[in-house]
Amino acid sequence: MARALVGFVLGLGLFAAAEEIRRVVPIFQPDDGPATFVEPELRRSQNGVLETTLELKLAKHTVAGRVFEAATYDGKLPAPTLVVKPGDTLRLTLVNNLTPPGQPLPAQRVVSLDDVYERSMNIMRNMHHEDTDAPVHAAEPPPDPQAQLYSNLHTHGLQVSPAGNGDNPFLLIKPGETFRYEIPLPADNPSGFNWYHPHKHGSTAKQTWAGVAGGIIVEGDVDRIPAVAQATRHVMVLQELWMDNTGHVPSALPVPVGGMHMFSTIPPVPSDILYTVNGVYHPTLDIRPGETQRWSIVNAAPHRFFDLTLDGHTLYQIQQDGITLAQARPQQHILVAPGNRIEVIVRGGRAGHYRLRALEYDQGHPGGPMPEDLMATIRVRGEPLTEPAPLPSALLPYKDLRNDPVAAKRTVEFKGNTFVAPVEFFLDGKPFDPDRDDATITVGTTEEWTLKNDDFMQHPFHIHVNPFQVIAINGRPVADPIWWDTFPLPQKGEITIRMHPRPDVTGRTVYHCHILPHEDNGMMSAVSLVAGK
Amino acid sequence: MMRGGVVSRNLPAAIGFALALAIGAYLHARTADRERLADPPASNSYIVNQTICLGLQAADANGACKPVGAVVGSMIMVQLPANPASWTIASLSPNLVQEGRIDRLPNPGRYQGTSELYQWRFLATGAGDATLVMRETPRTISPSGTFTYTFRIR
Repeated sequence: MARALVGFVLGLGLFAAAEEIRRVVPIFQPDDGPATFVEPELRRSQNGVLETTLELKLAKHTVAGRVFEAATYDGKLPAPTLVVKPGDTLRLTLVNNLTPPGQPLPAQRVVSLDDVYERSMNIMRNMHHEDTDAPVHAAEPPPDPQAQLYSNLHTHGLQVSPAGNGDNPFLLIKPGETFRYEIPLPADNPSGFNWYHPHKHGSTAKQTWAGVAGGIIVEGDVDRIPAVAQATRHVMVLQELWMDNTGHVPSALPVPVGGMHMFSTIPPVPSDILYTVNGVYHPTLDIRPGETQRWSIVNAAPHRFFDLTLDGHTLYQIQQDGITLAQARPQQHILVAPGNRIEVIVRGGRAGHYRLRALEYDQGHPGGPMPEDLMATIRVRGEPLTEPAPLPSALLPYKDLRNDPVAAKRTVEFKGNTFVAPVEFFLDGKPFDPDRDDATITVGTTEEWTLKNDDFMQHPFHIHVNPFQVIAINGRPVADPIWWDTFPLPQKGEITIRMHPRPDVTGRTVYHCHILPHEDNGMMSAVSLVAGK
Repeated sequence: MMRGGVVSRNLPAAIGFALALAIGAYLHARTADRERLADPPASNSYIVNQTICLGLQAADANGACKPVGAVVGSMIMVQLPANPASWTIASLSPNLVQEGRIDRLPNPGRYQGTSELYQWRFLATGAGDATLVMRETPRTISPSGTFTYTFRIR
């Protein structure tokens, strides 16, 4: 009996060891199947201008064998990747053809800034965030049943003007309306990977749960670094598609819940959340042994953090949030919060299949950590390169804001409540008010902000137009600060950031939590960027 | 003789070893099947928690929650914050059949005063109206001490 037990234990031990090895060597052999990695369509600027039309409309896509009626730009899931250079101008015509499912397209008319600005402000003024002492604005109209179809467009990461027809978060384009954005990029806009998505307060989460998002590549100096230039580039738009059994994003009031479903609604309907890469569930991407690829990754999910790892491979991070690092960082896993972008160089290892996984991660959601999810399979195959492609090391130097004189200090407190419905999320105890500036910043000066999270759930702080450096986390100085435009606040903790708003961009814009149901429910503030005297 | 003795002495160990490998291979095959499962099945669960009840409570001593529509054969999942507060099923219509035990999901720091989410699963077995009354001890979340869920099952 004792010998049988010893044999059993030895056998189990051997199997456990084999399972562990399986994680890092290419034993994983999934069906290749039809889920091939798909590259989003590219639309490039020509002669300094990228002029294109983006029709916001429903379009049916098959995701994990289910027909999902996604909200899309031009029917694409994800939207086309826009490719520009510093100094170019984006001329984007947004045609809002969103409809309730099964309804005919609305008749279109072109609207101007004068047509929509004051109307948009009035609609946002009349949005109610429950159980607050915020003043109720007069002349309150009844809610529009089509409010979830109102939209606009934000160029997340571009250092462009938020005024007028620019990257203006205060606009609201209704179904049946066409609006022309004109967004000139400054000549020194960093080269890197950014993205665009709807940003209409109140409907941003639903529209991104429905799939509306696309990448923006700003080409430039980073692309000329030899180890980067030699790598084959792939854009990866990570999405969190929420669908009920009719193939639509549930239209009722979202409610966070624990367990594998993560969200329910009032009233409840059966629904699932599926994580996709470029609109494909569990795609397979090929790489040759020794080949390097440059993955431009955006977390376009409204809610889910992705702590990414690639079995058996190191991720050489070269960018964070569209700005190149001074030195490539070899990483075994990288946390990509909603709104974050990363760029990594991957070199194909031994032939075989490897999993790109989002590790289990506790972002403070009810019910404990998000479970691990398979995002994609990486298939290393083909003839090995005679000489492995080079890996990046030194990249592009940048300014360290820790040495700057500080013109102003501010503190912002994040606090939310998911115990009730609708959920409540506030900055400094107040919900978003489009008329109220919670900060006025003199551009060209350096400010230091302390961002305090009173919640157990993490809030990714995002500010439009200008990036920032995180110089301390929970009071501990960061040794080598890098640039971010979105950073997840620690649970019940705080960070200190410094920003130096570029001197040539003024106007009103916003900062907010990039968990989009939090933003939609009030966790956003307006900020004015003003010129110095 | 000697060889026969070695074999017979080691036979139990060999059988145990083989058994362990067989169990491991079976479990691995199940895991691999999950990895190959490209298309997860569509959910048939209706999930409710305290949010569908709170807000209606102040005016309702019975702790009525907003009514829920569901279909026969679907799963109804009820999640409530717990520990140290506890919940018991005070009454349950016959066309709702509890499935399995209570799931206890970790929930520290999320909802003040509680550290877990309790989750009950009920199979909707027959058409018609159904009620589920959950009683909280001690009363901390439900103003009336109960949540009365109502379901219209078709």
